[in-house]
Amino acid sequence: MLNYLEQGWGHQFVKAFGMSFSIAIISFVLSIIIGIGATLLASSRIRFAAAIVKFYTYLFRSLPGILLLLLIFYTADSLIQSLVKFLTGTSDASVSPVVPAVLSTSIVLGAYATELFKAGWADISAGQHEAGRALGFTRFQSLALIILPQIYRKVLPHLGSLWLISMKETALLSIIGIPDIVRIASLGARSTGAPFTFYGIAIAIFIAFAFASSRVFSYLEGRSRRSMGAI
Amino acid sequence: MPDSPVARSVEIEKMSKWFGDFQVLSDIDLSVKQGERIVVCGPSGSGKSTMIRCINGLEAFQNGKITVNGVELAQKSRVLEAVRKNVGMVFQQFNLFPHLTVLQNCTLALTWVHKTPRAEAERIARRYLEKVRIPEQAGKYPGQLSGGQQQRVAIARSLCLRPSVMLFDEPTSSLDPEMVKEVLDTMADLAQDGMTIICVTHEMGFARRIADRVIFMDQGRIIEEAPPSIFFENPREARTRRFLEQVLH
Repeated sequence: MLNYLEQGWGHQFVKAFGMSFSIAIISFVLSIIIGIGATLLASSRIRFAAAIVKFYTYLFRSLPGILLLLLIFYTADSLIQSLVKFLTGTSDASVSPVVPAVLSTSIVLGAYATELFKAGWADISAGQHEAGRALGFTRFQSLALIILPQIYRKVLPHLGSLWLISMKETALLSIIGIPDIVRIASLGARSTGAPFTFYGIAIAIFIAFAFASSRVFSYLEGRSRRSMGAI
Repeated sequence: MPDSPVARSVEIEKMSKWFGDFQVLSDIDLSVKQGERIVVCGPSGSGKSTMIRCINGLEAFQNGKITVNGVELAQKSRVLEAVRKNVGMVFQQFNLFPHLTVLQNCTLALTWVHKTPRAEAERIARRYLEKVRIPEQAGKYPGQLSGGQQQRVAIARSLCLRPSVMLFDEPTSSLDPEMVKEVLDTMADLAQDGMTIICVTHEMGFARRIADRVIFMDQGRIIEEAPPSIFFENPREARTRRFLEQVLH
């Protein structure tokens, strides 16, 4: 195995991990933004907002991520290309496949994040909102200082799972040619004829990543539990 | 002394409110002078909580007018925020912020709403925690306190903003019996300091002790209002008598 790593595959895997990790973290952050935004929308007084949010979570939780990825990959690519052509007049614009990759993972994970934040929101008693208003906080202050910090503490354990899922989702990206961990493993397996070694390395990377992530999240959870008054 | 408009703390005129088709408050008239202590009682569903929640705009009303310290209430965020700076409210369920310590619960609105510098905010918070007799709990979280202690923190949290009126919405109704007294004593201290108080409660002993006027509500109307001596000894209305028979045993 060391032999393969020395032949340059080690470097490839490091780069691939960087790629998977970057896409995972961007998608994770975007999905949280989508989740919070959709939750606020669903609880607003805007007509049909709740129904639209419900439809969004329903749709993207039921579709396989791969379908959406391919759909966005093919449509976004031509859309963005024609947009670039329209704006700059050049026709040789190429769009990095990372863009549809991040878009599709964020949209799918956003649907799960929305469900999480909606449940967290429902868990906050009306009294918390009222106390904020009675003390003279603006709507935004009340949200940022009182409501969201409490939701964060409630959904944190689930965010840990969402984060792992977002890392795993990056494995799908190999099908649109992004050099992620799985793609490098399969390239290596094919070109060297040592599939167990290469897929083994990929498995080891994901497991090590999950282990490290779970340590980070249990630290965060411990901190937030202490700050909610549990001893 | 003639009543100048400045001496009026809260003025409710012909206020009515509906939840859909159901009228919860009908033609409420109530005028509260500065420093006056009002206890509101009545059977559940009589609209007493809804009425005091209208005073700081937690509930909107459809007809009539409410003036708090000369400011006429309107469902506009600027007006509401201005009124709420002068009106403290204590809830039945305490509604402390569970993710913040007792001290932070008290300083949050001071620093963000009133823009008080942090050190000054903490000084004020500690002073009021001392006043409600729990300065030693400042570093704890609400979940670590008893119900009575939580409610006293909630009172301190409101007092920190130095309101001119305090609204109490059944402040002892969700407390264990042995904790009711400590909260009522804290409120009685406030009454002695001359704070304007409007309190919804079933604690008739407390009403007798501190109220200048007792208001009895039923089915969304003010049925009777009188000083406690008259209210308890010689109520005018049959409905008031029936209610008192049920709560005073």
